Amino acid sequence: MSGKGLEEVSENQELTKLEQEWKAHFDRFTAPEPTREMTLDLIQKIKNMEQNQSPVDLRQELETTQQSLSTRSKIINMFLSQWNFYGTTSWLLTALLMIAITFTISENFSDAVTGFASWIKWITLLVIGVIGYSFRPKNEGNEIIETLSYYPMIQQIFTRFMIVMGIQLVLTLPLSFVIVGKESTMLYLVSSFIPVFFFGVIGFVAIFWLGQKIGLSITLFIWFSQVLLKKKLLFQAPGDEYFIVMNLMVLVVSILLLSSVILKKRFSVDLK
Amino acid sequence: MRITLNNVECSTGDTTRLKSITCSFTKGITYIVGKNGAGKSTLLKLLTTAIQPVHGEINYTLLVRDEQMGTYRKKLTKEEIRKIIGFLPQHFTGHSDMSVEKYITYMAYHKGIPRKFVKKSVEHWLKESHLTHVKRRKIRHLSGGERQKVGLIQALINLPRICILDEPFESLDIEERLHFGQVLQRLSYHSIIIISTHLVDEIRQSSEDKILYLDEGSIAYFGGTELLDAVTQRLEEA
Repeated sequence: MSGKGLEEVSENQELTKLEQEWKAHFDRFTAPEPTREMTLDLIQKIKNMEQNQSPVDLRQELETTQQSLSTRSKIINMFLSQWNFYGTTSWLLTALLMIAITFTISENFSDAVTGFASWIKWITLLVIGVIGYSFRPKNEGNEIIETLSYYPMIQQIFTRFMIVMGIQLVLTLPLSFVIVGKESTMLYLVSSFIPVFFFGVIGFVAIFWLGQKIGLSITLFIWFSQVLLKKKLLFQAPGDEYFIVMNLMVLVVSILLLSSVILKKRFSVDLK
Repeated sequence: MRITLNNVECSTGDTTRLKSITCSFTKGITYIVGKNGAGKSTLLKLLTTAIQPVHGEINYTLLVRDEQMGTYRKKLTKEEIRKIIGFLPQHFTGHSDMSVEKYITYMAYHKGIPRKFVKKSVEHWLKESHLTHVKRRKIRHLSGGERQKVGLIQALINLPRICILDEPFESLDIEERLHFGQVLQRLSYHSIIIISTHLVDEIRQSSEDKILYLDEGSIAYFGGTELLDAVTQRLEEA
């Protein structure tokens, strides 16, 4: 038997002896009363034994590890938590769909300008769809679970938005070369970036403030109005008269709308 | 760790769900019982910080030992509280389009488990809960019991300091109840476990556990499990 085991046996024997002494004292008041020091000493020993028997505090270990993490690791962990929400398979499907749209349009339009105009419309519609899926509605239980995170709500939401927008922009920009071909210029990159960014922001902000159904409806309404309108406001091509002014305005409006998210102070679930 | 409710009142719409609730929770298991509509789920949601009381206050404090300041109770902020709570809602659905493994991995990251431990932790929980064979199955295709186990895993995966479970043993068989009962028992040495249940038979008569009996939004009994039989009788009569 180990030394610790022997110690435990001896402590148990001492405890039994003391218990018997107290019992004898209660039965016969003439029996000697155990000393207070002995009793207190044994109470302390019992406390120590209990402490040794209680399971290890694994939560404490987890918190110590969490505290020792570098800022870089924390950012990566948060990124992974939000990446997993959309899922790798969903991202692969999105990328495939974007590539399919690009090559279908590239094959069917010989003219770069009209091809680009059609391509950017479909790509932005896909952006709206992905934003809608990433911020899909949750039931009350899931909504509460989402707030109970290691990461504050605002950080979670922004990280998810950045992942969604980042990946789509990274995919959009090289795909625009396929559509425009030899006529590719920096201006075509700008005219690909701005509408994708704008519809991403509009979708995100509208869903954030008004919920998925109303938010998506408003975003789709804006998209359809731009597609059906004869006068182009959002889908500007480099040759258009107000190309720079319009894109600049759209960019400023997008940034302002995105900043409005910071104004929402309460991120608790409103169950009313 | 201690949660103190002081004269808490809560209503949804025109209905008052909880009336002047004053009590405190410390480490160990507290079972919340009461008939339907007694306010059990509302109390749990209040404790998760998801809803706010109309009157009164809820304080979450932690005993801190500081060499210079001595021992004192530190009041936790909402952000700090949310980091240490595990919650199982009454009708857990999870994200039904995610597979079991993906959902639990997502929750592990969500709860701040460092990435080098995530895979090991997910595998451990799946194995212990006998869910390894369904890990690639979408949550919507799981049976009621399997889904409930996924719900329990997401609530327990970060070994929370405060664990709030609404009807956790619903749809579980005896063996599964026993397994999660043991997990909760171990966790209760260092954490506050609050369980709402209508399965009064599942409550163990232990000197360390407590019962909170809610009747029409008020506390009818709050104390040790020695009065479990009396509480059960009152529940049956109600």
